[in-house]
Amino acid sequence: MIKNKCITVKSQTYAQKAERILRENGLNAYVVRRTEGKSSGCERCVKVNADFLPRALALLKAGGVEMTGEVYDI
Amino acid sequence: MIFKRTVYLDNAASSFPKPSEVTRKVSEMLKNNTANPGRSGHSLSEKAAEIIFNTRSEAADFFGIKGHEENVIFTFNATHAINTALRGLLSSGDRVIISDVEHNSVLRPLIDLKKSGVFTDIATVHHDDKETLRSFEKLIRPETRMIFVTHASNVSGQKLPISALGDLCERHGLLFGVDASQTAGHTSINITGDKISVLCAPGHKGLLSPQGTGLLVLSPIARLTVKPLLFGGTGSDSLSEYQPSLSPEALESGTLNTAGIAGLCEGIRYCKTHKYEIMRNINDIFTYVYDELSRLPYITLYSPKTDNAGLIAFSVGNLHSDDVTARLDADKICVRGGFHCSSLFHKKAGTTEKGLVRVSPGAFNNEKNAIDLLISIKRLKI
Repeated sequence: MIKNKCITVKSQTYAQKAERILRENGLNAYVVRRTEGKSSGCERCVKVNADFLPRALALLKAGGVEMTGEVYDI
Repeated sequence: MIFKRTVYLDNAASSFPKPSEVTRKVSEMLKNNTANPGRSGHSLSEKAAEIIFNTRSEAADFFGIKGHEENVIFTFNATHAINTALRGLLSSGDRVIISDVEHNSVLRPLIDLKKSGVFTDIATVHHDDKETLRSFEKLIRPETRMIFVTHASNVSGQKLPISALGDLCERHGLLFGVDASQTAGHTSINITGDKISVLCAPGHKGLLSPQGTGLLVLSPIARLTVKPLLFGGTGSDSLSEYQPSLSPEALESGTLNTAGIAGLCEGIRYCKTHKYEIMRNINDIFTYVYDELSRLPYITLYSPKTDNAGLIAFSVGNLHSDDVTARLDADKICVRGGFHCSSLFHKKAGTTEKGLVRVSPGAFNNEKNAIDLLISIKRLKI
């Protein structure tokens, strides 16, 4: 079974930007609303395959995506 | 009335008509999806959010900051963008230098900002760019924080040397704001290349988009923190009672004009695809009308022939400009008279009594429109 991770980002625009960057780099990524843990309200996440999490995080950092630092299983 | 069809030559006020791609998209959105973009989490809301994001991408690319969608902020119009930039970046003790041909949308917020301790210096625009640059440079003081100028006068169309002004700002460590109301869409503007910190543009003029759309585009290099003009719901940090600080949401409180923005996306795409064609069309009509008017002894031109965004301002004998436009309107020719919301320009030009007539061709005008205009002008009894 494929395990997915949710990378929490700071805004809707950053979620969409994250999705764009990851897809442009060949990773499947989807914007979802955060449903786990303590949220400041209406937070967005980007869902990625857990195997590609380190690469995804590196790509998002390089692309200037503002992340909260929280990643959770989905 | 001598012409059967309306000739619209007032594109500097608002472009008309719009490309069919724009009208179709706006209509499609109003018919099929008026969900609140990104707020609700359901599929229609997410689809609307995708359209908003795609428009940010198109605008970022169009203005030379490809991939920086977060730096594109949607506003209601250029005035809203300019107010956000000036009020959001300047604070007590700051000075800003503007030109002596600015629109009231720049002048009036700055007059009001005097109450908050922000002071304005006004530089003279000359026909020689080097002289213009000197007039800006000599006004720079230690308190100067920003130069904010129109890319082109909304009355005469004269372009300001924005690349050189960008260099000047960089040398002196100043912010550089540009009002691209008369140029965005059909003139190349590169935020990074021109060293622009903040660009303000309407959607409904050269970008051929619906009224109620505008853009505030921030340089990714400048890393600016702009204080919001409006506070409220942003669809993020909803449990916090404080306004979030991240662009663009922090500067976009309230529901966006999704249908208008969808139209803006198509307008930008149209301009991208047809930019050189539009530029050539405007320039051809401008040159033809300008040359013909310059041959008429009762016409006084107030626009330069070179370095012009495509606007022709003129007076006709001793007639009031509003009388001229009314008479042209009777021939179904739409041009603008009066004072064009630019008290600075008319005081400088000495035209505060009768104003000026302004002709502004756009993407969809043709030679026949120019001929009809000239026939109508020649019929005026001076």
